[in-house]
Amino acid sequence: MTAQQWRQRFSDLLAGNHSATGDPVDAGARLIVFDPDGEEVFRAALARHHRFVDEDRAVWIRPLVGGQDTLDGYMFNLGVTRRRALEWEDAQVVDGIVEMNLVTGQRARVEPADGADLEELACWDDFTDRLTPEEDTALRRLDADSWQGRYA
Amino acid sequence: MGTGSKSSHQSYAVSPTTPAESPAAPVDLAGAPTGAGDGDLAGAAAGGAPAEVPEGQQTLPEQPFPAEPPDYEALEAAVDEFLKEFGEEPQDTDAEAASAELQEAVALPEEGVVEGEQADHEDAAAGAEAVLLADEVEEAEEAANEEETDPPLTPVPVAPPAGEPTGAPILVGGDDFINSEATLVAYDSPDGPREVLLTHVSEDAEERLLDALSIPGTHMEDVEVEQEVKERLALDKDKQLAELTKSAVSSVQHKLKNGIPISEASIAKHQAAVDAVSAVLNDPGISDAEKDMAQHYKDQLDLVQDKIDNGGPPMPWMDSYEVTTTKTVTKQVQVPNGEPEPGTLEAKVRNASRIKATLDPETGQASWDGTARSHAKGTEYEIDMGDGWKAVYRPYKENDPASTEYSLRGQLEVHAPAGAGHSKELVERLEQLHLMNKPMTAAEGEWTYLTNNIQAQGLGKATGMKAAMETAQGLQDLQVQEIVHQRMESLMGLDSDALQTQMKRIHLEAAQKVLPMKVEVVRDAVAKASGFASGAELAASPGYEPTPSTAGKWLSWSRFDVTGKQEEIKSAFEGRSLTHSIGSGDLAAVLSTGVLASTEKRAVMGIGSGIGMSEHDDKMTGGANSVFLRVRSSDQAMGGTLVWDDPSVLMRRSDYYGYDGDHYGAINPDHEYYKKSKITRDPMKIAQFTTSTWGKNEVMFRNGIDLLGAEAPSRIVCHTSGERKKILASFEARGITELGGKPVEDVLCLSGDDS
Repeated sequence: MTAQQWRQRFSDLLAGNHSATGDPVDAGARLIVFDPDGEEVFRAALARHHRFVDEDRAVWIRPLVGGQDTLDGYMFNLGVTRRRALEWEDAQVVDGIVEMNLVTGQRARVEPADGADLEELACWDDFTDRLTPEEDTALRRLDADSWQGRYA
Repeated sequence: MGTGSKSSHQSYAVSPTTPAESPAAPVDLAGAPTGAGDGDLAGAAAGGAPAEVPEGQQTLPEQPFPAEPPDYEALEAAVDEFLKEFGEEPQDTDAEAASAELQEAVALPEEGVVEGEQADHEDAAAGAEAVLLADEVEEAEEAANEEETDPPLTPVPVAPPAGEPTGAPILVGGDDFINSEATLVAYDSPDGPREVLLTHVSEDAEERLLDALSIPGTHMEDVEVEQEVKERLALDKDKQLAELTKSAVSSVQHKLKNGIPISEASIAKHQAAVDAVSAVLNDPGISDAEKDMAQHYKDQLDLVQDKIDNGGPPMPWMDSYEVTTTKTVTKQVQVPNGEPEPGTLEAKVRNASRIKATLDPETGQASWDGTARSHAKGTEYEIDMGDGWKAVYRPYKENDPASTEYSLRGQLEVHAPAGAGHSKELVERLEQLHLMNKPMTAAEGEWTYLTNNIQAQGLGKATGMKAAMETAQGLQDLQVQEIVHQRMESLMGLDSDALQTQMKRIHLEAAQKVLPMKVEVVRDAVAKASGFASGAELAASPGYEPTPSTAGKWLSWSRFDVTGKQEEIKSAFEGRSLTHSIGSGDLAAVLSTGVLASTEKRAVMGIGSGIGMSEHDDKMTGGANSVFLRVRSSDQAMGGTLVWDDPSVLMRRSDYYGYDGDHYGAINPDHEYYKKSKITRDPMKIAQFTTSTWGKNEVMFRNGIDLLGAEAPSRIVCHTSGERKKILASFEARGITELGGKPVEDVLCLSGDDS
């Protein structure tokens, strides 16, 4: 398994390229993180954007935390849906799932989203349609430690 | 920094100040560990965010006092039982024995020591023999009266600065409020300033607050009401037009945003929606409203078709077709069971809401008309306090954290009538709600300072610390027994309820009286745990500042291991900086507020989204109450970055925590499920965090950072020269010429400038 292979699978999962319907928006990825003792400590769908930082062996992602139904529809608090990083020691694809050993000692799994996680991703896709192109681009850059605009 | 007082406060007592008519507020400031052997002293902090104990959990639980007092022996038994229920071991009730035990347990302050002087521990012990003996009670009470002269740590301003979105922070004595904090805000309004006190009531104080209220709604009745509702048409729901259209829009939008070809799947989704909408439009039997609805979707689908054919930029937001109608609906409403009880405040139950303030991005002024509110998930009480005053409270017991917003529980607003100058009364009127209404005193502040430092410096398990906390608690127990013995005659005539009330009051009074001695015991232990010979030496050291910093937009407590070693901290960070990137965000807008504010603070300031967060969200992100900085190489700063080249200005605070890397799971130490294995509060360890190109370590600061005051960044890296000029002009208009002692022209720079 080359680095290129697992990275490609990682990107495909987030993009939804594994969709059974042929339309990527019908699929996506979720992140599950386990502590060294095997306990699951984090689970969330992932927004479709990511950014690898080669020199750091890291990838920036945006777990979809902070969504809620409001009188104006399903919204996300962008102060909460902040960027996070996965820094890996090594990674591989196992049965279509990207498994990463993180430098923190935790283990991460990036896999196809389903159920509530896939619904959350659909809500995110819909929510981002409310954003201006500039706002959408800013989110995709994954370079901000906080969101200082609308929806935060 | 700080409020100017360098003094420690071992030489005088703190007496109860709450009027007899109202329940006394708890004053066991940090909920010091009980005699049961709580070894984790980090949770003892009252003034900070305890690491291992959820907020609002630090105080001793109120327990029923179980006994009738028919005679002396029964009363003593009841006292013992009461103390047991507070988790304390009963002590020898003989006053002399108590005194002797006390002499062994703690060295006491020398008589006549004045504020600002440091009592030598051993000398003080020599004078201990008289303390807490019955014949010394009068003296203690005299000392207690001196509390009146103990100035508040944070004086209440005549009026908070009008339009200032962060308001004026104050500290209130006791622990009725989370971190003892309250904020006085004056929003601009056409009717004059709208002055509001904002605070978080601790969960332990809620019962007393609710006792002050008559809350209706003990039974429900069906009532027919007319109300405006927005809803989709039945035909829309039946034919799934909104869903089909949204599916097509979403699919095509995805391709447009990502610059990829429109897929067959997208075209199929569009065609399915078009077919459904056309079928409705072609139905001659539909109403005009239904025709409008179908046309609404057809227009959207036409735009989608255009994008399929021609591509182009993403489409604007498209919503479902909804109509507003007035409907008679049957609602269940809460109906009061009779009149409010005499002596209570009438409260109405309603859906939770927030003050809907607005912030002028040009002037940074917050305004609010006194009525506009945004919807929030949960329940609140609107409380009529009389004379045009009111309060809004969001009770813990009505707001399940699993289904309501995390930060909403326990929030209290007290509203003055329109106009300026109500600050003092805003605080005083807390008494109407059976809450502590006195500013925090210096002695209370030093206890908070010490417990914050125990937590921040990880001294909880240091040698002698547990014993010191137990001794402090023992002092309090002895004081309780002493007061009981003094008042035995009057207590014996009381019935069970009255006795219980009096015992609670005595417990609180004892806590207040013994506080200076507790402070001395714990200060001494903290001193020894941190390498000082004695508490006196610690108190005299240059970094010891038992007062909160009030220079910023909110209060923060310092840690003496940093304030005394700023050069060491700077040296440890050599070549590294703390940074915060706002990406392509609007730097000028951030600087117009003057703060880098947490989500929770943004909501109060009127710049929040109104979108709350669940407890789960906060647990996983720490995002409600903190802002996030990263340790990075000093030469790495892109446009839109705030840079602290001298991190000691922030590391002196006692409220931060950090992770060397992105740690998943519960990262907010306020939550019970977080794991502390990876967290650190040690500035020297933070200084050595792994720095990488993009810095994935995190250092979280509570509430936020004052960007224009003592915590100002060393550099503000602008995106463009135009942005820099705009910010400079704004600073000039506001009379801001320096930040952190540097001319603003030097602070504002562009990426690539020499630092």
